Amino acid sequence: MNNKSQKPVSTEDTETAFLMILNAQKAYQATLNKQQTSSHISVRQLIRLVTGPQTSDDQALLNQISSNFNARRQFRAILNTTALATQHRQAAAASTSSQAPHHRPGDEFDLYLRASSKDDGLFYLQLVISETAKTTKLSTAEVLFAETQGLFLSLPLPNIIERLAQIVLPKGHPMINAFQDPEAEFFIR
Amino acid sequence: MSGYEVLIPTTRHAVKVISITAEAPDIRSVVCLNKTYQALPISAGYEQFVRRPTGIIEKLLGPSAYRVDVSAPITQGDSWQLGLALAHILKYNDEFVDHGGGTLIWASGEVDSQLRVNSVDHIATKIEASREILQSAKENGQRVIFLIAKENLGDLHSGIISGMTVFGVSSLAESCEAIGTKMPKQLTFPQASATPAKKRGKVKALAVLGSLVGLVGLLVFNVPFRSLNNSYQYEQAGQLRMLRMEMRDIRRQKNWVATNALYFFEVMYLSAKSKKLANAITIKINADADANEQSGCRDFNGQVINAGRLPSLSDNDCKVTFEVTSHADNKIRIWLAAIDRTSANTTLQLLKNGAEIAPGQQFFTPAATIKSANFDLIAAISERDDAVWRSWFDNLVAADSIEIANLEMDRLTSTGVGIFQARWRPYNELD
Repeated sequence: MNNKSQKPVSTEDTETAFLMILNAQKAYQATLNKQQTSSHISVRQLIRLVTGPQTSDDQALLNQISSNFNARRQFRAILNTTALATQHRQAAAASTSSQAPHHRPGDEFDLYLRASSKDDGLFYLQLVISETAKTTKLSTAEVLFAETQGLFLSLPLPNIIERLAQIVLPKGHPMINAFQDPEAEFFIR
Repeated sequence: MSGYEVLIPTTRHAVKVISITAEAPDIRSVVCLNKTYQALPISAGYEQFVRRPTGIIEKLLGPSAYRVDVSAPITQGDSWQLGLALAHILKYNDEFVDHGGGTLIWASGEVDSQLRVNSVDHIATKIEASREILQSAKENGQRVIFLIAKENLGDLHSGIISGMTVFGVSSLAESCEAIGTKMPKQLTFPQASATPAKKRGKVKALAVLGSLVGLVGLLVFNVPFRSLNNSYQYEQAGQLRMLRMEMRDIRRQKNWVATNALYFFEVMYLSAKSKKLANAITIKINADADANEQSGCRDFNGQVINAGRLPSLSDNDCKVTFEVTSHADNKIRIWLAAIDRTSANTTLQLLKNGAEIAPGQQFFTPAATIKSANFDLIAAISERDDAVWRSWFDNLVAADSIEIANLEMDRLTSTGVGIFQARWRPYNELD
């Protein structure tokens, strides 16, 4: 017989073991709660993102929305109802062009992408409000949103002067990729 | 070492022009922070500075869009215009370099559509912020040239400019001459589209006739009205220093029509406006408390001050405030000062206070103790921003001679600023 196995267990040992189990349970619960909290995006946050002023945290929140099916659906619905204008996906012909497109026509605004003559990777993304569009309303646009490959992107717009706003972007910027994706959709608000 | 480097000073740091690239005409001109692809806030102003009809760079050099890369941010103002204009001209003449140049140009000034170089603020601060880079250039054997508007020559700090060449200039052509580069001739741009060959002869004859008529019209109507329009625009924008320069230039042109048009503009508009504004305020004395518990001060409580002379005051020290009410049609900015001129040599400023008030509104000055002595009350009133005329008012208040006071008064009233002046003299002088 093994004498060690029959050694009586003290009350202190039992308490310690019990506390350890409780702590482990608390830690597990806390981790679970944290995951739940971080994945939840409130409607208020979504509306703020579309209608409120731009902040440095916006892209992080947009990434979070992109990875959450429900949030993406809700965000898209909010964008559709609050956007000043929308540019829908391009016709199939645009995607079969041998060269990268530099013009995305739309009903209310066109987008142009032009490389700098210095050829150092700087691009100009231009948003031009159509002559037929309600210029006064659209000229107040402050943010350009894009949805491409299930990802949402946003860029603050400079003042629209004479129906045109121009943004400077480096090569490889996600907005350039969105521009070149015929399936992408753009919104301004 | 050859070639020119260009520095654009700001109040925070000196900014070096790194490169200038002509872009396609569809692009809006942009000023970028080097290596960051960040468009600077002055880009919109730069686009206007470049592209016709407002811009001068396209008129001088041809292309209508450029990208300029600079070493550090320039966030506001227009003082970059002289530096960038020179950088463009040097680039055009193949004399611009971003490093290793034999000459470093430090330029600060505004350039208007007539290619005149106008004065800017904070020259001394900008020199201070450029100290390190200037010192380094000097040690590297570079020739350093300061280019500023003539009007700014008085703002130079004597310490920093030892061994450096300073030019006060009034035009872009003078700036080019100063640094030793060629000023490009302004390009002409065709207005009309191509005409069918059959009609060319007839059109040519009509064009000659039209040109003659147009020339006469230009001389008789356009020159004075363009100048007057500029003057009017400057007044509306509160650019009163520019307004005075424009009026001075019109007088120098010695164009009979322009001079007379200017005379009517001055008399019928600016002078009338100055007088109207001077009468658009009421100033009342409030003397609630007697300083040093002496009686008699309350006697003139609530008295209205009329332009010209103050009401009779007590011989004792009285602590008073002034209540200013506006009867103007629009919002006005007022600066008011009380001055003791007892001493013949020095002017003692008892009070200086300013406010922006809407029609019918009032403002109260802080309390000042008024002595029974020579005492003046001066107020300047304008509908325009006080960025320019405030310094003229300060000079008027601090004037220690009648000549200086008259000069400042002329600056103020000739640009449409109203002046309210009232004087009080002791009883013995009144008798």
